[in-house]
Amino acid sequence: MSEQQSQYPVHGAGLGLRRPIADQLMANPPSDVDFMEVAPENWIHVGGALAKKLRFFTERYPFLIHGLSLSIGAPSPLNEQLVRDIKAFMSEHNIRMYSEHLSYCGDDGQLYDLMPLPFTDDAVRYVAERVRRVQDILEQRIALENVSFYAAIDTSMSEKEFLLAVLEESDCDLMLDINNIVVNSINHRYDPRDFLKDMPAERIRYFHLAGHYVEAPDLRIDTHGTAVDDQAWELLKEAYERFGPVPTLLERDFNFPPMHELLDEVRRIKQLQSDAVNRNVANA
Amino acid sequence: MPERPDFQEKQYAFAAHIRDPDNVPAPEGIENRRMAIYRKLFFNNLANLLATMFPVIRKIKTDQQWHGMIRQFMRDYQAETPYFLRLPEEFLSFLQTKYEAASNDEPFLVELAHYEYAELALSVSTILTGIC
Repeated sequence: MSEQQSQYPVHGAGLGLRRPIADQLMANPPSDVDFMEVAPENWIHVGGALAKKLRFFTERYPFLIHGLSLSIGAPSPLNEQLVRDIKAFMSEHNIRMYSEHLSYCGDDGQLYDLMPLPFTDDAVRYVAERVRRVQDILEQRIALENVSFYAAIDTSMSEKEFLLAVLEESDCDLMLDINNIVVNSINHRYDPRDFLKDMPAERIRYFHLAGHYVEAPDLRIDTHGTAVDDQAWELLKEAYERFGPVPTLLERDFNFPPMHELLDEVRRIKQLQSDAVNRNVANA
Repeated sequence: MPERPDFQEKQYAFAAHIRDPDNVPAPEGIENRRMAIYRKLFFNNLANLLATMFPVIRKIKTDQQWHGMIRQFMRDYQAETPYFLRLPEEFLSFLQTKYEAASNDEPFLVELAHYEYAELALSVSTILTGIC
């Protein structure tokens, strides 16, 4: 499939660019990394040496951005200035896609982390209207991510029903976080395969993959601070079998291992992608 | 003020408890250890970020004093910026407008915060390892 025809903004395996590993990556830009991603809120309005550093990477790798602060489900008005800043940033750095969390991170002020939305019909309509507004300003579609959550606020709908309804109502894309499915399936006792199989293939733009923390046997926290869990690798494999080799980004935010260990995980993603393609060819 | 829909009332209540867990009860029906995850995630995230941004203040304060400052910041101040590098501005503004000084606070605390903020704003450098 040529890039023009693909539904995906990138291909292969990516690595989240984080400040603590930026110098190492600059010294040795890895060829196994097919694309990168940053949080725009950490790089917009940044100048000087740091801005040059980002430029180094955006000139060498296809780039995506993954927002932290848009607070798409928040009760306060949508921050349209942030969306316009993101639009300019995307154009400046040739960013291919913007994704955000299906979540909210403040009330009338910012709290800088993700809270779970109430899963109700009127929340669906409210969020969808805001997503459409963001897409109008950006003049392009955005992808929403299924977030990890630890407490259910209102379960009039299930997590899956809520996600699917928002995607449908706002007509936006999906960035599916494989680890979050694992985490949530344990925290809220459902079958991760059931969740996976109902995801709309045509809306999927890329996957996220990360490690999580085991707080208790029945409670996992999505930290991005450890190696990817076996259950997430298993589910990733199933996801490739179901949806094909969807581009997948490895997220690691702290507690960084030696670079070769991170790149081993990137290569393992690529291996699973090519296994899925080969199996598909063999079955055809 | 127009009445808020029920789902937004729930959102405000959830956030209010995270801001001030000692005075605002947790939303009903949520297991305490699950709510505790949110309390810790939000508090530690801000405490760690601000510690990297105001390293001198962090150093001269005991853990208890520092945590008291963070708790007040969460409880009494509405930060607006979506940009993590502008968080120091928000914290400085909190200290200048909302902070209830402790009896053992250094008289130069706000001035020191202003100095650390200015230093950071000038550099926007790579020292912020807490920010990814």
